[in-house]
Amino acid sequence: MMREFSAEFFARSPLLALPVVAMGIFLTVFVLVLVVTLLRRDKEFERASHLPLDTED
Amino acid sequence: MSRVSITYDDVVTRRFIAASMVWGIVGMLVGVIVALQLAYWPANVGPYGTFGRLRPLHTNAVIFAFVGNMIFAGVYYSSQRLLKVRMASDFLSKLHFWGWQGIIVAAALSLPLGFTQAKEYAELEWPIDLAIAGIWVVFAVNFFWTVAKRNERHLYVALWFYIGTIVTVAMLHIVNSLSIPVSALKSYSIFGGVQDALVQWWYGHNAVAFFLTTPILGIMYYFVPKAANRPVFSYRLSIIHFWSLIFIYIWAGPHHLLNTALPDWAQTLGMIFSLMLLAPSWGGMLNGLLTLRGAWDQLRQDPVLKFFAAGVTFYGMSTFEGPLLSIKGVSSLAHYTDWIIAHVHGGALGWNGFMAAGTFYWLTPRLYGTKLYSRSLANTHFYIGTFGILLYLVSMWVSGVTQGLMWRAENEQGALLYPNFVETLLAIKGLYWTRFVGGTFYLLGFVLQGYNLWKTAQQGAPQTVSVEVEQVSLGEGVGAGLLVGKPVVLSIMGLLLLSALAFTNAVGSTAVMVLAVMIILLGSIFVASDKGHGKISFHTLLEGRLMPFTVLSFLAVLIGGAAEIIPSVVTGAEALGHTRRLPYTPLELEGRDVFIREGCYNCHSQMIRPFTWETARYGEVSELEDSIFDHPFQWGSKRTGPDLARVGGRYSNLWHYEHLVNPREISPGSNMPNYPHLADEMLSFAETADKLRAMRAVGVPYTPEQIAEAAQAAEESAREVAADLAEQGHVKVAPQSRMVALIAYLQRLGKKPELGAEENEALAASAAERVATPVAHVEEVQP
Repeated sequence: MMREFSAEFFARSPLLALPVVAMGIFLTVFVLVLVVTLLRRDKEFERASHLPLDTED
Repeated sequence: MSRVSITYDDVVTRRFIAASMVWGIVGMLVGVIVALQLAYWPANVGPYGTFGRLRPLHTNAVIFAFVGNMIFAGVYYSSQRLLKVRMASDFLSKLHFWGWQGIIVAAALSLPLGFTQAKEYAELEWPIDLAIAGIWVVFAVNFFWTVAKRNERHLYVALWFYIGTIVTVAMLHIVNSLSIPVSALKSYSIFGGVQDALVQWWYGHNAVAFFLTTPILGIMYYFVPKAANRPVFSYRLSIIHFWSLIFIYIWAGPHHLLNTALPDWAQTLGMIFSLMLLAPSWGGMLNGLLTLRGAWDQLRQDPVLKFFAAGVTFYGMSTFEGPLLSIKGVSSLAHYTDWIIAHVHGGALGWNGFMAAGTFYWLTPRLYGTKLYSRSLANTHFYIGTFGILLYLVSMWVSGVTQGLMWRAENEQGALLYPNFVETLLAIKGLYWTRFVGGTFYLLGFVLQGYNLWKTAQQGAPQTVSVEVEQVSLGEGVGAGLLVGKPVVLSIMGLLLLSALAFTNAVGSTAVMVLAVMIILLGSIFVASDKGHGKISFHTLLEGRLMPFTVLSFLAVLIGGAAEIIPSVVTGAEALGHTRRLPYTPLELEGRDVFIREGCYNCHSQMIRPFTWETARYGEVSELEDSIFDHPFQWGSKRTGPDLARVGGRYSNLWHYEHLVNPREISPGSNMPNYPHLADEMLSFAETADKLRAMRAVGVPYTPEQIAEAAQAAEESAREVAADLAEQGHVKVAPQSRMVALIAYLQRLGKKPELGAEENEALAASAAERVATPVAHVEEVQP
């Protein structure tokens, strides 16, 4: 079924793979940056992230 | 360092909360009424209470009155605490509050009276637009002045979203509202046809982005940590969230115009950026939800956390559905249907409504020094509200897909299976009743919230909060050097790559575009948050500097808007010079204003898409030139009734008259309101010349002679239509009536009267003259 689907999709032009690949690269890199970001635990932003909790209400 | 005592201005927060609740009830009640009107047409009460006039009242009240006041409440409360300073000016705070309420009252009066610019979520006429711009400036001055006076060097993430909101909303509102006044309450957009469509949906989409989303995200980043009593899950992630969201969002507007006559490059741009938008949106959603980690056990008891968790989940759902609907193939099914209505209400009721509920349930007890009046009532609100939303969304999803499938259904010979549009309406009637019930449940929950907050305020007393903080001398300079930092240079390189789009083919350009965005966003964000040993990162420096932060935010949103709108405006001006189409006659122009006044665009599109099932039902595919003289454009966004792009000449004048007086006489089962009053309402053709003059000022090629003779020409045309009605159906209608003008306009739609050789010469002369002496000269040839 996937073969039929891709044959139909690329029937107009094999170049249609380009934007699909580009989008794939974007999402992959985005997820990688996201993971790296989440794994990094440094002190730089600790004070900033506690700012809402600084004040009594 | 010396310490200083500050007293927060919470009076303004209390006022904005009260206003948000009152207008919320009004806006949602009108929403329930318009939902009823679609299920049960007699609920339309003409002339002021028809669907076409009330629907803009509903959308404006919910967006700008309910959510707007909620945003201001959240911004005023959180900003003072994050900046450790009282608002800079009590006078400006008061002016902002009362000015905004005045604008809402003006909207609530003018929209049912039929004063509208006919641009969705931007319907208000030019004097109110000016007032909005003025009050927004008051808000901006007060906010930035407060930031400048702060006792906390660091600008917390919530404040970035507020800054992004303030600068972007100002830009969107000013550009989209540019118009030429005809009279005190009538104007024409300076943009026409496809340019107006692009500008309007650049605005409309980003009203959702920068009014209904970014400020609420700022509120989320402040109030969710407060309610959960733990810091935001990942501050670094919030940096990615902010910059990628504001940069990508602004490009996505054209997804509202997929498969229309909008040039293909703009459609592709809108679709690709909409798909990319999923990544930052979900990054933000996860950051919000994961902030609640370790507090899940409190969800069962605490209504505040319950509303926040559900609100952020609805945000995730809506931001998944949005990109999905932006795929051209999905849009071909969903556009103009109730699926879009389900999508916007998932965001409005689930995200905005529940985030407002969580914020107000958390704030009100603290602002009045007491406990929440009833926790169980708040929990009841949550369950009633959630049930109402689900009922609403499911019914509209089913309705939308049903409409989409029925409109395109063809038999083996290629003929439409449901050629009569009303068949597709009758099929979803039950779903319209279900939606009405769902909306009513949500409103009931909201009223419970209002009662609960009111009782909470009554059992407590307004609090005055004073705190001692360390006085900080910022002494920072403007930080202009940050404007040429590494991430900025990297972004410029990405933008240069983006400009290579112009030299690649249609498919390759998409790849270039995505790669450029990747370099701009991810590269610069990565570099910005990185640091050498013992150094402070670029972004930490930036977070302490208001001016460069604001300038870079503005540039991030400016680029997308400029890239889409400028080419369109340039080509639009060229197209005006080459077109052979004729502008509307004076009577047709008057009729078009009746069409706008009655809000017909709320249910009827004027855009036939390039699909066999559309051309079989409505006629030839719409072309850009069809709407070249339309200020504003009337492509519409929803088909509760059929498309009207080529209705001209399809039926007789008498058919239109009878259909307008009682649609069910002609089309049994229709839910369109009756418009018999149009036959009794008289136009003054004395003002027609002013309208032609204003149209000429925005580029429509009326000659001075046509303007001078406009009243006479309108009267003559009107007499012909009235005579035809009398002859065909023995119907006596005054030629000056709005009914006659509207019929004349409808009969013009889709016809392509073109200029002859002589008219072409006259037009060329007129264009040359217009360049030399614009509008003022026309005054002199008036009789």
